[in-house]
Amino acid sequence: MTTLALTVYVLVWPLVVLAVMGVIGRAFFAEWREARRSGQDLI
Amino acid sequence: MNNLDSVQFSAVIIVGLLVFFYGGTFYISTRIGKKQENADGYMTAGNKIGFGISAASMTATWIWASSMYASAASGYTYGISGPIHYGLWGALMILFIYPFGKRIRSVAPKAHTLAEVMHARHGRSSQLMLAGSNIVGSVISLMSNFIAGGVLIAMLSPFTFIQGVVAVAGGVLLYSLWSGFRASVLTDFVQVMAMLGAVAIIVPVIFFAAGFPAAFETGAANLTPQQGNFFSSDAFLGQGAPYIAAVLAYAIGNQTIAQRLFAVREDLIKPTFITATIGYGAMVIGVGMLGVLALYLGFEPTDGDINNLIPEMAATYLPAILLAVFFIMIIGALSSTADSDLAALSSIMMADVYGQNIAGKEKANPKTMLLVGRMTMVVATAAAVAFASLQLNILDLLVFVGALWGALVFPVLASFYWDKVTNKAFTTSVIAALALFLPVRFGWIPMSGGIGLIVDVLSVIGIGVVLGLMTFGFFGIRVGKVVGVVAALVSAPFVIGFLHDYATLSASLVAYAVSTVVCWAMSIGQTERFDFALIRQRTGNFDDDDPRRDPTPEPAKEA
Repeated sequence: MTTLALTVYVLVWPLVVLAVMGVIGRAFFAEWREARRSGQDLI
Repeated sequence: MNNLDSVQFSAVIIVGLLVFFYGGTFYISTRIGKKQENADGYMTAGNKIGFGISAASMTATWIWASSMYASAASGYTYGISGPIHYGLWGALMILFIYPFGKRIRSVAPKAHTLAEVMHARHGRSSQLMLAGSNIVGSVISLMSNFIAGGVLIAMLSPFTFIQGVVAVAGGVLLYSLWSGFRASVLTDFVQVMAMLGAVAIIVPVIFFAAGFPAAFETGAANLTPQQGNFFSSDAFLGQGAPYIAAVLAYAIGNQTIAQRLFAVREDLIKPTFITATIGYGAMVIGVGMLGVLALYLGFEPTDGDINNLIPEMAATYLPAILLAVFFIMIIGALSSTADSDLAALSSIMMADVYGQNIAGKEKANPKTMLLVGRMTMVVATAAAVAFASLQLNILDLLVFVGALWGALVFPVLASFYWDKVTNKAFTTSVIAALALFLPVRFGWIPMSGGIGLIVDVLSVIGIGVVLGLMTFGFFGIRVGKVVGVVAALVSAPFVIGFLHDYATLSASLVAYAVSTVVCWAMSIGQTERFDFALIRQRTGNFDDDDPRRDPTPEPAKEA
């Protein structure tokens, strides 16, 4: 593998991790707001 | 090569970090704590958790400290493909249970444990096999996570290993004890955010601090041709293939996953499992890349102990503030899995031992169940601390539990789809599989001549079973059978005469093959058929709003 390919190969995972953080975080806070609005327990 | 001594934290700082982490998670658990907790909520949070929490919890539970250490070790040992051969297959464990999970939830929407469902399907012996394997597996996991915490604290602070073990065990018990599974999944959200955020920062920082990308060229000579090859056969045979064989076993056998399967809202099973698959894979492979970087750098872990690799890479290349973030990441990883193990153990003791085998499902008292659950957490924590302090060699026990789960895969899955499978077929097939697994795995008999040939033939069948089941989950019985047969035929020329030399892999495949063949042979001639609707009636809530007392069947929802 070339140096550029290896660099991308190593650094792509933190980017995917950031994307997953965004998905989970967004969903969590939407559920939190919904629970507060409806007066129900989050869990 | 490492810089460990110069970056040790003082006692005050390490206590502050632990108080910050466990104090924070305890505070979060108090926000959802109820004076009168509900037994079903303590086990499955009412079967209606949303996507955000369930995806976070599934990801956090599956990532434990050992995942990170082992992925980095795989990168360090096998080179650039090593982390893929650890993290990808580990991630697929979550993905491959999803289609089966949908089926399990549709027949047992209000269950608490998989063993409880086996009791409803077959009876006591099947249930206790699954419950027993989970108790042993979760205590081992608990102990391993406490050991990882103790080692990390001893490595980075003036405290001893035992003091570290006790601090971690006490912290986990503190926030898990009162609300059980509800506390576990809610704190998982915070823990997984901390872990993911830490990986997103730490991996690039170490990458540039260690002199990459230039070091890819200057350090290339440190790699063997196999380590530098993305399609390394060494990496596949040594790391990837045994792991593929374990994929279904750990996903089906592990109560921590089953518990989240029963807790998530039924229509959210699919997005939850897919998100957790991607989250786990990216994080574990990302951390595993530190092992690859270490290999290029010629980094030598202290005493040659590969478990020191990750902490020493962090200590060498991270500034103190990010080392604290790294510390929180590892503590978060091991705590999220440890609290899931406590919740799994308490559910098994509540539902399987007390609920179905001592009091009986109709007479079980929810308040007594809660007491049983909390006492289980305390006793399990104490036992895990004691085992951790003895520093026992757990490898053989771990291998045995993995084999038991491998032997259980086909009988468990067949029990959810095939109405001919009986309790006798289930139990006999698992025992037969274990009886053949043990001598193969531990080399009790020489693998030369005819015995080696028999093991290879069974391994070929095992390959067909594993790939057939994986395909069956997603594409149905016809495609599953075709893929199973084709996989066995294609692999036969490469496996026969060769694979018995790889005891770990061939023993796992033998367990799959024997349990499948025996279970199938004992079931195929059965004329009596099982009515799957009975499972819904026989499992359900233990508290007063128990639907078994006022049953209104709910239609299964499609994800």
